[in-house]
Amino acid sequence: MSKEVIEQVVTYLTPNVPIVPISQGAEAFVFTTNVHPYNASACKTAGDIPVKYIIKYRPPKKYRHPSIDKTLTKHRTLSESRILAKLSQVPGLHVPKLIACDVYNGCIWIEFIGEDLPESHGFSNLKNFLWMYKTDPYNIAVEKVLFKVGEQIGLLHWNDYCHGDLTTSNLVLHQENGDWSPYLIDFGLGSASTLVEDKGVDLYVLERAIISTHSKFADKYNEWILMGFKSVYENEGKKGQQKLKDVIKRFEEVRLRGRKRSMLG
Amino acid sequence: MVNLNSVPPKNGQCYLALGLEGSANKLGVGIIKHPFLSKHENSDLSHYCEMEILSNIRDTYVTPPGEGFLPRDTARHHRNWVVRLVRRALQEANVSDPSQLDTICFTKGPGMGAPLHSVVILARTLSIMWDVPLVGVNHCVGHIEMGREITKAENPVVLYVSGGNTQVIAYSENCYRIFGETLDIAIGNCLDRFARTLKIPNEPSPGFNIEQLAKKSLNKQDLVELPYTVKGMDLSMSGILGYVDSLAKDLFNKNTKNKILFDPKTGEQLVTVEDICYSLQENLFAMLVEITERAMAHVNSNQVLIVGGVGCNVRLQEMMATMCRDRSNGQVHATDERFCIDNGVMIAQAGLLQFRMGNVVKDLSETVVTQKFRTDEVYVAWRE
Amino acid sequence: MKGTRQSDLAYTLYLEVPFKTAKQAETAVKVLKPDPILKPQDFHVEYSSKAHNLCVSFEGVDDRVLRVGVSSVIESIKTIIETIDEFSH
Repeated sequence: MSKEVIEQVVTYLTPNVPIVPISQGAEAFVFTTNVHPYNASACKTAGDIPVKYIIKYRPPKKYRHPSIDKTLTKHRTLSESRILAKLSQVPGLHVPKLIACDVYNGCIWIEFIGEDLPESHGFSNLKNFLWMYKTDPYNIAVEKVLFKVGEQIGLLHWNDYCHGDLTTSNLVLHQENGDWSPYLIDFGLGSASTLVEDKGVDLYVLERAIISTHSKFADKYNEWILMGFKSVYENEGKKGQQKLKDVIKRFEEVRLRGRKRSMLG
Repeated sequence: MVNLNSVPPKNGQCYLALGLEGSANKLGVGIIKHPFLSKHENSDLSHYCEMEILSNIRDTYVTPPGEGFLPRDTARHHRNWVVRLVRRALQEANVSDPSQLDTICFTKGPGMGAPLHSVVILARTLSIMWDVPLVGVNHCVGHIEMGREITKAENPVVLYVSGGNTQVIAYSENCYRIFGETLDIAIGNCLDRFARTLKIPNEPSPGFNIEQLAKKSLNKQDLVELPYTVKGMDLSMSGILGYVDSLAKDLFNKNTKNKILFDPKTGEQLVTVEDICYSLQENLFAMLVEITERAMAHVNSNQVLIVGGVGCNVRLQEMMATMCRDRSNGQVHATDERFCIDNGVMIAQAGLLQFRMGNVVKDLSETVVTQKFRTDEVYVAWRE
Repeated sequence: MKGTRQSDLAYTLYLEVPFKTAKQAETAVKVLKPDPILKPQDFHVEYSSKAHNLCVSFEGVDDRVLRVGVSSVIESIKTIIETIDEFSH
């Protein structure tokens, strides 16, 4: 991780907020901390165990023009915060809770989700989870998780939100009563949208992410995700059926567009 | 481990390959040599063939300002020149007996049908006359293998940007997989079409001329705000093109109602063509660098290789380098216009790798060219 | 004159192009043969060689289709001839 960026964050947060860097995404640096930004009593659980929070920091990107950078950082931090706040109100939808945000400095605090997978398989995002099962790819646990992933995306779209960057790294698994439950994270490219186009593109982007990162078993994986996705719409009666038909139709069109594009000028 | 020596060279010392490219408006003929070395017997050195370029000749079909190149006219251009170019390439490479060639490599696709076809006719004729086997090459894989050999980047994330393509590619399990790509038009197409709107020359290339105009912008701090359309690792550019096209038209027609371009009170012009070119480049390239960085984070890589005609844009290379500096051990690899722009050598390089793995055309029915040929359809036998 | 194939296509043309040797004529047949016709229901071509001649018979659904098809095949034949001329010595 770039030293310079870490120094920026430390200066910004002051030494009162100790941070541990955990990952560098394309857009943001992610840290954990045990400090709650405004509620001192929320730093420890009842059992006196420190509570972990995530600090997500979008550093200025020097490669792009300062005015593009400013606009994007502000826009994405703000829209991610807004979407997280809205989505946490949707019953059944799993997203980390938003705790604080500072759009001008590109910083948000959110609830910590996930854990380390057994036998050093890494952090419990969907990508590592699927890799952990690569010797037993069609295990029922995989099917269950992918069906639930589909349900989460279905719920998101049914409520007219789009993620904008669905990949297997942006789905984090959290254990609840011994069961894995997928959480959608990283809404920097998310938006409120009623357009079938946005939903179709969302599904296409995820399908491609699965094909490129988990190619051998991609067909089955995508099938399970789609089953979960459809189940949400199918529970919504006639209206749901119709909307589902529209989304799936557009999804197939987007897919065809990608494949069929003649690749010439 | 891969054995790149599974088919020994004709003369026992080095491989000779002729490459023929004509999938768009550039006609390229190149001849390369690979030494026959024992280190390639059991290795993963497909990016280190010690390739020697014996000749690299190109002729571009240039259209007048405001006009694009049409398949029929481009094919005619290729037919007019291709035999002469092969003759020159052989002379420059000092190949007096062409039957000494190990293989003739041609572009199988993707590209424009008629131009591709005009070149394959020559390739088939030469193959029969000289009794040299053919290898059909995917144009995109040609760019990648050329870039790897020239820059020695072993396993980079590849940004492939040209007139017909915009893709972010990474290698895994014998396949160049596409992680992100344009959802509508290619970056080069976007620049070419904007150049046509501006009616600036297509010589040496429309993108190069936009780059030069952008450099002349006198108002670099105030960018003209354009749509920024990244969708995950994919991107869309047709909306941006439509928007800058309409800005340019308003500018030419002196439409003072456009408040972005003209001061509503005084009618004074606020934005120049150079400013629009500058803003367009800044915006499009920021999007390209962003999706490349996303792919790097996704596959845990720290190397980038930029290939394709738009890849010689210095501003794009500079932005990519800045991005890489902020990633640990980040490295950017790019090549200059000799290799970035479509050429015969790249087809020879990818084709020769294919040849060395024993993958040659066995029947001429396999040499039918195709307009659609995705990068991820090729089985990359020459890599681990 | 019609080709060997039974066909309903009304517009036809038969061409013979002389080469220097029978081998060259055979080469031309091999080079031309692989490419499929985009609309086989509208246009059809057959290539063969007779002594040192390349023989091509065309059939088209109308005269325009026939013209376009013939012209594109002739373009290819020109490339073949130029290639042979340039490199056979």
